[in-house]
Amino acid sequence: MRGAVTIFRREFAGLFLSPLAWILLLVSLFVNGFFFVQYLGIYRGDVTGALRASLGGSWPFWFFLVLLPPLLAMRLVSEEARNGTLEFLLTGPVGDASVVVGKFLAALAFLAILWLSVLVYALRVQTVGTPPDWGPALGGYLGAVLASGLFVAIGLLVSSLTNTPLLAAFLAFMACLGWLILPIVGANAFQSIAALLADYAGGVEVAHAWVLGALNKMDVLHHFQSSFLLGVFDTSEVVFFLTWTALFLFLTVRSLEARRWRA
Amino acid sequence: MIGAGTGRGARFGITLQVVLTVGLAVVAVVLVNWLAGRPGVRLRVDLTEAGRNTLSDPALEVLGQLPEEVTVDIFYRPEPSPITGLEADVMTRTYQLLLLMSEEAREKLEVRNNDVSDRESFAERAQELNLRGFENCLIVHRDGALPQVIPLVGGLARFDIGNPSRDNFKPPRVTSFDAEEAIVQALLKVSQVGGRPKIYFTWGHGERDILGTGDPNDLGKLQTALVDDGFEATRWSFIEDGPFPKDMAALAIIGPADPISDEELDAIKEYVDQGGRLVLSPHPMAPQIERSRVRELLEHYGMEVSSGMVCQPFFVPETGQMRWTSNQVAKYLIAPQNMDGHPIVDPIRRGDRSFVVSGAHQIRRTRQPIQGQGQTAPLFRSFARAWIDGYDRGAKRYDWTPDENVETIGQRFELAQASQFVPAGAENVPEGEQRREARIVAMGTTDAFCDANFDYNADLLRNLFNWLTDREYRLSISTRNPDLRRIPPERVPSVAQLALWLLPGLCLLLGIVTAYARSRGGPRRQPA
Repeated sequence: MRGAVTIFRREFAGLFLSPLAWILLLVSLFVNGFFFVQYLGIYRGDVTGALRASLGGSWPFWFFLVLLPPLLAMRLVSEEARNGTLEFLLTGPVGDASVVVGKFLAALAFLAILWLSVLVYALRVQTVGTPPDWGPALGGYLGAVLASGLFVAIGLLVSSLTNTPLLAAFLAFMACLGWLILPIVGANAFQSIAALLADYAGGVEVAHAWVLGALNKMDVLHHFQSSFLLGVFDTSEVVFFLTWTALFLFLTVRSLEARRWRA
Repeated sequence: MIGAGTGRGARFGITLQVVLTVGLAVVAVVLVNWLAGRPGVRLRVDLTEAGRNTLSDPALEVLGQLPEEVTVDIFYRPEPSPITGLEADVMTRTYQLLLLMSEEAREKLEVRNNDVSDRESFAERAQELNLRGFENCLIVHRDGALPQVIPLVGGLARFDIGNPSRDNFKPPRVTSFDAEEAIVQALLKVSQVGGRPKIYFTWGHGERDILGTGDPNDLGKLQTALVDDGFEATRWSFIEDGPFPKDMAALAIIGPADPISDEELDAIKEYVDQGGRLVLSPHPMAPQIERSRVRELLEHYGMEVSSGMVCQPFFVPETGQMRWTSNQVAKYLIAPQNMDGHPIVDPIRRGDRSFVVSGAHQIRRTRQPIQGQGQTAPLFRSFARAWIDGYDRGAKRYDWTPDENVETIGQRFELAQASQFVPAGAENVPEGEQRREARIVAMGTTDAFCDANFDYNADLLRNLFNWLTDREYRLSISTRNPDLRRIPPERVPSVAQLALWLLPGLCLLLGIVTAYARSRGGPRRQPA
């Protein structure tokens, strides 16, 4: 645990010492702020609607969510591997799990700060005389952080598989995007296949329903929109994000271990 | 940990181990997620202040009892109007509400969001539902039942279009969000949960006419509403039709003027003693109260009706002055703060609504029901500065003026009581069955039932008959707070200033400071 904290401090400070983090933060804050003001206009001043759109109810949110974690994660493992500093880390007095958890928390903290900006907007709205509904706003923030955690974990795993940072970022972006649109694409693809097979094989409809159910269970958008976006704290949705994040972190640790014996 | 060999076998072993590890981890994740979704384990907390994601108890009960699948079709097309944006808000919120309901009803409620821009599929669907023309609405339907149409404006929500003039501009707004109540009522109508209870209104003693429609004192509107709500409501004359029928779900005696016979009185008592349901309201005039024997009947159940009429001062809207005389003192609003917590009036109180009473008498509890366990509780009461106006037997009228020497002034008088108890007489119940609870509602005002006041009192009366017949799940649902938090347009720039310039500017400044510090040999990233 202490090792993870040490790594977290090092990575978090490292993030803010690099120009990339500041550029990402600056662009994200500006775009986030721009869209928040637009949402206020679109919803005719409805603060609840604007906050909801900023925290999960619009495409810019999801675009940032699949774009930023890969960009942050690429430098966490892949860049270190390319620079040769990863070897120091892995042979140091901290375990692989501590390294992964520390790096994960650093990237997550960065994104948590970014999403915090929406709560600052909410606070500002309150100071000008329209108190927002804080329950859903805080719930949405929690959801944004949990979803960010999931995508950072995916990014870390991909980053641990290659020594080329840009390739890692690209692959992680595709993986995050794939996870996001998998239920829609998968359902459509399976529907086409099922329609083709319906005449030849029995039980296709059962399999179709099963696959749709399974895809629905994996649907990040559905999990997010049926709880955090509505202003509902649902333990099963929290567990969904935490467990899948934990799985990808676990796989990242295994991947780093594999690096050691591959070398 | 890993085999030392690098041959094919060792590689296969490593691959197998990796595959197994990953597989087991995925299975563990799926299992934990499955467990977390189990009903006893899963916890859902509504974080919204207005309880947007929480369905009311009556709605949950109705959804839990849906006998067959019901479909709700949504038809919405934004059209230019002063309230277009508000309509969109209401439809969005209604859709969320329907999703909640659908989840709660499991397989029994299907929600179809029709794409009205797809003309072909819309035309097909409209034909299936026998739609003519277009309206922004919900259509609740089930095979074999008459579809129920809930219009957006007036059905799902009520709007105030404001004042568009520049001098005295007032923006349009949603005054109440009624979607939950409207959808539940429509679900009840198409599903007809629980059959049609029969309510008989006594006839032949000068009562108000449940089948009458021409006179404002008739109860025709009440009859229509009761039928609409799934009841059968008709007259019953003890003299002409004989003893009360066995299928009577409730008996209503509304404002009788002529005497009820001994035989009929005994039949009423016997009916209640067997767990019957009774609603009783005295005639507005004191002599008729005595003559009709309503007083005697109420006394039997531990209640007392005043001969005098409960009056309260009224405000002249034009001058704001309080007036104590005129017959207008006998007709007044019962505001939410004067309602008690009984299920009949509680939804109305929580919905911040009022209703009208007229020619009301005090109904006072003299004792709790003696025939077994139970209780009598007040439903609502008058304003604190009310008085009981005595009946002038010489002049044969009320004088509508408080008289401090003979009349009680400045009190809250209870105007209705609801009693429920297990009657001692309900002994002949077959073994294994529970004794039926008797329920009585005594309303001090007959005029509250009549057509002249029905539009103000519809919820009260519907709730009354539903409670009386054990259909608590059909009690009217409180109107929801529209909960729209809008920031005035003139204040948006100050938010934009922060969002577009201050926060990014601060970030830029900190970035520059950090870069400058680094260029001057400040902190550099060090290996752990």
